[in-house]
This record gives sequence, C-alpha cells and structure tokens, in this order.
Amino acid sequence: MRQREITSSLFWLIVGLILTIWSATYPLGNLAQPGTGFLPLGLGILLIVFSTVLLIRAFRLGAAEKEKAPMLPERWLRLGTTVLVLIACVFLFEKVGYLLIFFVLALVLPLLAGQITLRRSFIFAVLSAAGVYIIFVWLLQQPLPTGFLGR
Amino acid sequence: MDFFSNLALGFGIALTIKNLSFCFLGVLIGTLIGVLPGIGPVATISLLLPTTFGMEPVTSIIMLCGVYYGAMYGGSTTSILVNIPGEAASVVTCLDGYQMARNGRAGPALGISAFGSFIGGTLSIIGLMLLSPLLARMALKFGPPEFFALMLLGLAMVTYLCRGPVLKGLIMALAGLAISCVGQDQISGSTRFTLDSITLMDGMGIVPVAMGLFGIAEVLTNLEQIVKQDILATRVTGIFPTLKDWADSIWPIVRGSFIGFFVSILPGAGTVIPTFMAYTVEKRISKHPEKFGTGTIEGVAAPETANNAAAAGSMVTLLSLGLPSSVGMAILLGAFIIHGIQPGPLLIAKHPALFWGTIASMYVGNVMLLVLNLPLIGLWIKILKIPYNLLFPLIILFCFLGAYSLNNNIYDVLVMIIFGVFGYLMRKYEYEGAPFLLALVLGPMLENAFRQSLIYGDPFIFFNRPISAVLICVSLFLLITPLFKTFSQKRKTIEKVLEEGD
Repeated sequence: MRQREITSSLFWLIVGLILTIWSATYPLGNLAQPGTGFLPLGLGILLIVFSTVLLIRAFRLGAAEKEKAPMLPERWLRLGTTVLVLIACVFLFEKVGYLLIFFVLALVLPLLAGQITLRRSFIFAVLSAAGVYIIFVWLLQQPLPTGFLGR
Repeated sequence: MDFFSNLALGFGIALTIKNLSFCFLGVLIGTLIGVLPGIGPVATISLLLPTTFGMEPVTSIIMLCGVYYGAMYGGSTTSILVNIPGEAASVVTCLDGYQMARNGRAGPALGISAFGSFIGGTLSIIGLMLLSPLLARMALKFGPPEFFALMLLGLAMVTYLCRGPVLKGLIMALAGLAISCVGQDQISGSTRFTLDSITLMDGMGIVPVAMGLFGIAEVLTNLEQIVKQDILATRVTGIFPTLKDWADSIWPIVRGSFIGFFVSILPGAGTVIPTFMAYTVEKRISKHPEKFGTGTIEGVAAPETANNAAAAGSMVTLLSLGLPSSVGMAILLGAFIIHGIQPGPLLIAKHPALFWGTIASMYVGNVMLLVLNLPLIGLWIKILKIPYNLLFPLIILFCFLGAYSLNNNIYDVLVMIIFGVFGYLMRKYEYEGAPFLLALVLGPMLENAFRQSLIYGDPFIFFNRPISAVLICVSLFLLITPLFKTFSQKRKTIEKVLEEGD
C-alpha cells in the first residue's frame, strides 16, 4: 500500500512539474486577460501541491497500512501480452487490413485468457471476422482498410 | 396548450417507423449491455456513435438515449441472478435481489425491477418534460461566471462522491482538465501541448479516451482473474409479482422515483448515488430494517426504480443547460456536438423537434423495455452463460472498430489503448476515472467561461454575482471538508497505531 501510494504520488508530481514547466513556455497573460498558458500553469501548480500532500501522507501513514499481495507474474504476463498484441494490431491494421487483424485478435485473445482449445478459438475467430464483415462493412457500410487482401 | 402541441409534435416524430425501429434497437442493445457485466452504457454509446454519423440527429439521439436507459433495465438481471452488477447503477440491487433468487424468488425480483423501472422511468420523463423548459428559461440569464461556477460544482460533486480520498479524485479531475488543454486554444487560436502532431491539434478525442478508460481498462481488470459466472436460476418462473409484493413495493417505487429524479439533477450525482440513497431511505424508514440484505422485495424495488428515474433526471441539466451531470451524459453531449447541435438553454427553441421527439421516444422506449424484458429473461440468462474468455475479445473488437470509425484514424485506436492502460493502472492505484473524463469533457467549456469571466476586469467577479458565489462556495465546501476529515481521521489512526506500538 505504502509503495503504491508513493509511486502514484511521485508519478503525479512529475506530471505536475512537466505541465508547469511546459505551460510557462506559452503566453500567460494577466488576471484581466489570461493567456494560453494561464490555466494549464495553474493546473500544474495544483497537481504539484496535491501530489506532494499525497506523498507526505504516504510516508507518514504508510508503515501503519497493510501491503496488498503483489500480482502473480503470470497475470502480468497475460495483461502485458494482451496490450502488446493490441499495439501490434494498431500498427499493422492499415497495412494488413481489418479482416486479418480481427481474425488474429479473436484467435489470440481467448488463448491468452486460457481455458479454451485452439480449435474453439479458431472457430470463434472465423465467426468474429465474418461477423465484423457482415455487420460493419456490409450492413453499416463502414470504410475499413482492406490491406493487402483488398488489392 | 403549447405544451400539448409540443408533445404531439414529439410523438409525431418518435412514432415514425424509422425512429421506432432505432428506439427499439437502442433499448435492445442497452438491455443487452446492461445484462453483460464489464461493458456499460458509456463504452457502448461511444462505440455506437460512429455508426450514427449518417443518421438524422433526432434518430441518432433517440437510439443513443435508448441505450442509456435500456442499460439500467438490463443491469438488474445480472445483479439478481449472478450477484455481479451488470452496470454500476445496479450494485445495490445485488444485496436483496440475489438473496431473493437464492430464496427461490428470482421471478418476482426480476418482475418488480422491470415494473419499478417502468414506473420510475415514466414519472421522471414527466419531470424532465416539465422541468427542462423552466430551467432553460432560467439559464438564459446565466453569464460566463455562472456557467463556470456550475461546471465547477459538477466537478466538485464527482470528486466528492468518489470512492477513496478526495485528493485522488481532485488529482484525476486536474489531470482531465490538463488533457483537455491539448490542442487549439479556442480563444487565441494558438495550439498547446501538441508535439507538432496533426492528430493532437484537434484535441484529445473524448470517445477514444472514454472507451479506453471504461471499456479497455475494465477488460484488463477482468483479465487479471477470469471468474466463472455462477448463474443461480436457469429457469425463472412467476415473474409477475403477487398482490402482497405490490403492496410492499408500491411506496418504495414512488419514493425511488422521486429520489432518483431529483438527486440525479444535481451535477455529478449520476445514476449510482440515487440508487444508494433510495436503498438507504427504505432501510431507514422500514418497520423491519433487519430484513434488508436477506432478500426483501423493497430492497430491489427502490434502487431499481431510482436508477431508471435517474437516467431521465440526469438529462435535465444536459438538455436545458448543456452541462453533463455524469460520464454517460458527457458522452451523449459528444453525440449532440458531433451532429452539430449544442445542448443548452436554446436547444428547445432552436430544435423543438429534437427535444420533444427525444422525450416522446423515451415514453415509447420505456413501454418497449417493459414488454421486452419480461418475455426475454430466458434469452438474457443464456447470454449470461457466454464465458468471459469469448466475451472480452468481442468487447475489444468493438472498441477497436468504434475508435477507428470515428475519424478513420488509427491514432484514435492508439489513444484508446494508451488510456485503457492508464485507466487500468489508475484502478490498481485506487484512482477513479469519472472525475478525469468529466473534466476532459467540461475542460474547454470551463476554460472559456473562466477566461470570458475575467475579461470583465474584476478577478472577484465569481464572488460578486450571487448565483456563482453560492455555487463556488458549495464546491469549495465539498472539496475542502473531506480533506480535513481525512486528515483528522488519519491522524487519529497514526496516534492509535503509535499508542499500540508503545
């Protein structure tokens, strides 16, 4: 608990510092005519103040609070892989095309979650890709990138 | 007379075949996503938004509103049968609903929640219809300081009602406001924090951020531990409540309607707070409070009525003032703006067909939901049996498609994933997403109102005008008092721990 509080308040402290410094590079104006950087600068300063208070509280109260059990490594792996697969799909979406990307997503994601056979996952992926085509492309006429399959 | 002719105009629009079909589609999808845990109305409206681009504004709003109030109906099914809230406003229903199902009374629990939702929804639409024009007329007298103060109150309420320390809610609200500054400054026209990216010049899209914070983050949280859903009753019988059930529930339904409607009008209250209030009131005034939590029908009727009444009530400020009172309403505001309509005091005068058409469609939608819910309970139970490892890829696919279809821009999908990871981490660190998203939506309006107010030349203008002064004082009170309370409580905890240590 203590470590979590310290980490999160340090994160917000850094965000506040970046925001304050960055905002100061824009015209600030004055109270009668606030400029572009006026509000973000105020927000940055408030973020620094509040995150500092949280940080102090974390240091003062932390020892008394119970630490939560850390997450198991396989869960981190499952989450990390899911996010990486999603990001890879984002970058390949326009090149590879929606049909193949959605097929791969629907094939890989259930396998990552576990408790499913490759065969069932494959059937699910085929049905999902076909469903996306029928509902979004055929019925709703959404323009989706076809990638190399469309050429 | 004007009122009735306006209502007739509304029904004329709502009862066309096209609008009826989309209203039906909206309430059906709403009920479905309400039934499915892990995907709420916010993510669904965000997802459906791009598919409405080609529709007429009134048809699109009718469908999206249908999704919103339909989800309130659907949420109760999961709460009663699985003891998992289908969406946030059905959390309280789990307490007595699930116990009723365990006692073999799943049917009456589902029945009374459907009838209660119908009555609460209908009564609050009448309230919405009567109150919105009055509030809109009053709001015409508001200047930038009043609007600034009202938005500040909304943010303060959301922060105040957050779980955990208020400081964390405040930090999330500040972060949301900071993100809303990305892009073009609406007053000077210059760009801020864009890193020379063309995508960011237009600002951070509300919809991809909302889908990330509430859709992807929810999926990632659920992925941590996939729990097999244990459905209590696979065949539900005796859906129609008995006369005794009605006698026990009628007053909780009436009180739930009023609490739901009036509490949800307050900026930031949303649909969750009224359900807790309705339940607490029933328990407090009940002759047998000890029965609450063991499967009493009043404990189902009151919160289920309140959440539907709140769904319509929270539209009052959106339609009459142009200010969203909850995250769901913030997304709906986005839908209005995408269709070139600015909700606010002039909405009723400028777009009477849209305003009255939407209200009339809500009456129709409520009837559809009642008819739809009771016979389709068997279908919802079957849907609840879909394993989560097949459901979550579908949610991700729809979010992916929804974010991309907004502007046919893949960077919107990237923004969604980034905010999904951010939302997940914030949940892990016990920070809530609601103040962040509401601040992101209100940010540009809030900054404009703030800067326009200061142009009057008086930095104390917010305190010189009575309405804004009162609203700002209430906001400050809401934000400051919990800070002192937390400090004094924590100090006591430290002292206690130290004493024990000694």
